[in-house]
Amino acid sequence: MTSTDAQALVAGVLRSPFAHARIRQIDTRKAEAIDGVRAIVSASDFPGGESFQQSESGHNGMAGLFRNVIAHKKVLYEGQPILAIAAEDEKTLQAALSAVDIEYAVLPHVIDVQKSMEPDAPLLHEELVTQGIKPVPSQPSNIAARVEASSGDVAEALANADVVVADEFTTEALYPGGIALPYCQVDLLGQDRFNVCTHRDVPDDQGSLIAAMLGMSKEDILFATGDGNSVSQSEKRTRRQNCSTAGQSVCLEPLALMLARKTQQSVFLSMSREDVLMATAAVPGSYISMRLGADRTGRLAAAEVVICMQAGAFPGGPVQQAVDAALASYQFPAFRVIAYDVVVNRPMVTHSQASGAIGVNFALESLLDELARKLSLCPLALRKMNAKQSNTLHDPGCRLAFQGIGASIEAAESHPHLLTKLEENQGRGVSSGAALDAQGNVSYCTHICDVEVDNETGQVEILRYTAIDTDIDGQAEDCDVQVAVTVGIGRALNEAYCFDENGKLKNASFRDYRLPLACDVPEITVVHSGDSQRCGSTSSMLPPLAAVANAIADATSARITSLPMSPPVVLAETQRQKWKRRLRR
Amino acid sequence: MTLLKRQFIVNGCTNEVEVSSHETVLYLLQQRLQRDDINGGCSRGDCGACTLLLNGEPVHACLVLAAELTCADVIETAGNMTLNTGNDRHIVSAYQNYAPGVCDFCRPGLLISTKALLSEMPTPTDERIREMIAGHLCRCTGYDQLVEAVNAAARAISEDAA
Amino acid sequence: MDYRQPLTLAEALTLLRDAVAPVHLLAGGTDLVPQLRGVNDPTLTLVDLKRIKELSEFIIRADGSAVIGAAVSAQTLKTHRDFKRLWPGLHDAAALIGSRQIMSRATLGGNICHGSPAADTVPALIAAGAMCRICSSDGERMVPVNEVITSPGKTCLRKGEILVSVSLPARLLRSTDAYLRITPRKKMDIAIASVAVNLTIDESLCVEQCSVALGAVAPVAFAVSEVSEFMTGQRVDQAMMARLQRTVRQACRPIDDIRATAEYRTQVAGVLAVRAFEMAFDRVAENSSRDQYS
Repeated sequence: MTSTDAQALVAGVLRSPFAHARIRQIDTRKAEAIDGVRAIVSASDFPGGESFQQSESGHNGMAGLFRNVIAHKKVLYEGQPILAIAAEDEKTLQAALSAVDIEYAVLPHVIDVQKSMEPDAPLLHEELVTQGIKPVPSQPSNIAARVEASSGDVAEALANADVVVADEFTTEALYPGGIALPYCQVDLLGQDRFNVCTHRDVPDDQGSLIAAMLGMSKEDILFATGDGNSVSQSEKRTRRQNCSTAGQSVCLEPLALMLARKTQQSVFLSMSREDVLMATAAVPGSYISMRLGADRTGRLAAAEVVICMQAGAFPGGPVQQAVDAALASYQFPAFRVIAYDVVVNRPMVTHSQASGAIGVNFALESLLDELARKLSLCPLALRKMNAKQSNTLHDPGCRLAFQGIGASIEAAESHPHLLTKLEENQGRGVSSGAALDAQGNVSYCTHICDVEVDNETGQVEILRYTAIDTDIDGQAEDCDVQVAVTVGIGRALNEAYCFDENGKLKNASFRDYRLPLACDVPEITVVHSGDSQRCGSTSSMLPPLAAVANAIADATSARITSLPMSPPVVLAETQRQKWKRRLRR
Repeated sequence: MTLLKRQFIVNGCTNEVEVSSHETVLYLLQQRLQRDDINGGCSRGDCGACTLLLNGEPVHACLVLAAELTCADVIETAGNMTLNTGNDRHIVSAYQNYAPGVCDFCRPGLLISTKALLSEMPTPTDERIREMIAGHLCRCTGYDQLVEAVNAAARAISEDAA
Repeated sequence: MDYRQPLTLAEALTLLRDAVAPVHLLAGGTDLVPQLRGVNDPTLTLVDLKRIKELSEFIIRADGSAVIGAAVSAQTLKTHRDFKRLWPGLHDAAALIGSRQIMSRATLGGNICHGSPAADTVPALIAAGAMCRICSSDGERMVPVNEVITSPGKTCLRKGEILVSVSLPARLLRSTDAYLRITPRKKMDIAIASVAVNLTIDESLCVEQCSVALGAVAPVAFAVSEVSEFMTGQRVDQAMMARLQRTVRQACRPIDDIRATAEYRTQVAGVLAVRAFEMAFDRVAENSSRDQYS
């Protein structure tokens, strides 16, 4: 993306090379002395910063969001901004960035969510004490919060259940963004008033946050949308939460604004692909332990769920979404859902596109499949039997008021996809999902997926895919569902952020973090069913993970509970199954 | 740093520019020629957003150095396609009608790749289409719309020829 | 950075001989250009090889032998009918190098000299018995392709040398080759393991000659020499395939990385070897009744 203003200063960010370190000293004198360097800003330049630091802890709420944007005294994730610099040209900027001297005291880091919960884990925040536990813990930890939703006597219900299925599921952090690179151009509109043009729509709440960080009133910052073209208000649809720009949290705008303020000149700040992958909000990885009990007709009796979810470096991950995902679709007479918001040395995670629901949906829809298998029931019939019809009984702790996923399940039951014959090494899986989109609408869906597994290499090919979604008009929205499915397939089979022993991202490129391409997915059939509520396709982000896992299980009898289901994982699991069967004979 | 003089054609117009030895054609087109019909998403040839035609062949502009260009080199970007008649027009219309989900960032590269694809394969199967646009990452459509658009363009072009 | 575009081979070789500072050779640029990003070294010399006619030659003779200039693009190889007919394995390998945009620019010489253990054309070239013509202002030498890459990212090219072309030997009757690879996703990815098989059979469908080369399972691609010991003169059967699979697995020396574990690479290399052999065998059995060289 190029600056539209030849007079604009070029800006860049100096980012932490470490996942976890104390900043001992920053020396910018050499950088400042370079001819053509116009401004250098750090956390202490932000007027709002002080008030954030003074709040009860320097990591919660606004303080956390602020420090996610720019580090103060400590760096908590690789790529965390420490300084932003504006210069007259690119060459000067690079020279200035190289001329800054920073002394770090490197600390041990933690990224794995389970490791971060252990008592001897490296502590990210010395004053972070778990909220939601009584009595209040005396020791700090990386567990920012514990959230619980329960009803009835789960232990008794499970003990009395005819059948219990249980398993542990792990998902890794995922890239939620698109192809466009983030940028921010700030122009002066007058005395301390700015026009901000970025690659995305800045939501109102983020606009307020940015203004607060700068100690300014929101009216003095105008947010326009770039996108390469100017888009008039009337042309803009209610912006679809498409994958291009959804899920992006505040990162460049405060830095560019502060530089524009200091220099009283236009500033253009952009990010490289490597920085985006390394330092912007990811979908949180999680560990989930789930136990479901049912009677022999398939009626669910109880659910016991523990969710441990990465928050990123600051508290406030989408744990409520996770709780909702466990409870929103199916009726559990007794349930106990516990979710832990756990900080790790990574950027703050995203809440968009049902990011908190992904892991739980994977677990729940996989276990329902196991239940169906154990009871020799049709997986769709099992889901329909237990689908919530209406939410007259408000489940404590669950936000979603729900009409019922039954309509999409029924539509799936009668879809001709189910009649397509499967050959050897092929399998079929179904999965449902429900989610709230950014506008607050609930959407729900049921997906059917056919796969072929190469049982000598573990490679999985998606043969057919049908997504039944709630009724939406227009062709454009078909593609929202299709892209959600494509994103889901990529995550199911191939995607994960990988880190080395120092907590540095190993796959910071689209070559090594490979998103799905046209040749990776089949034609995706979208069907609209149910009532005519207009809603988005956010829910379609969820089912592909379990739909693929269930299809693989159908083809190979191998139940895979960790994502991604890459060829080595599939091969190892299918071979284990083969041995198990051989030993039973 | 010495600048090199380069002369080359972009969408039928001759350009004479001074370039540095390490800048890419993407930089040249975006920054020096201030074109808005080409975008870059990765700088490594992974995303396809910067695709243009160089002497009729699709290439990543971020992988070609500006210094490599000679006066015999002809570059085509998507910007001209809306102005052209004939096949270009069919391709642009097909994307408007059948792939409205494609965003402004990726569309230029996709239009150019479609142009190249259809000149090499006037009647591609869906499978071949997916292979040919496998050099493009799309996070807006799930690729079905792209296949439809290419098919529609192929139909329109062949009807024209008939 | 000093950018030069020599018009003849002699000019290029003189340039290289006289260069004081580090020199990078530029062909398609698909590997080199991203590496140069952010590099601000005024002493570096970049030599663009694309104008040199010897590097753009592509000769295929009736007997199947070939001379392929190092700057010939992957797309040129992919679309060449005779090349596909005579060397289908090497053809398939070249066609897998990357997306259509990459294929326009990537070159055979670049694929070799970038020195990636997972480079697609290298196992197929090794199995084919390809020779590399390496020139300097002092003269030239022919080096078997498996000796050109010495370690990941490094070649045997000395200062002042350029890989000018790759030569393929004449095709024996009843010969063909095959190339298969495993990638995390079906296409458009870097090989986790790859196998090339070059096969000649006799009239009774026994193996007359067989070369098997592996990629992505060791620091450099290499031929599995033991294969000819148990295959030459033998009938193709299940026992031979099982032995091929075992031999290939024993020869692997892979690493763990983000794409796959060493264990997985070894496992699938064996699977691929059998599949590639069967592919080559079916091809040549089908072709042997036809006259290959029309």
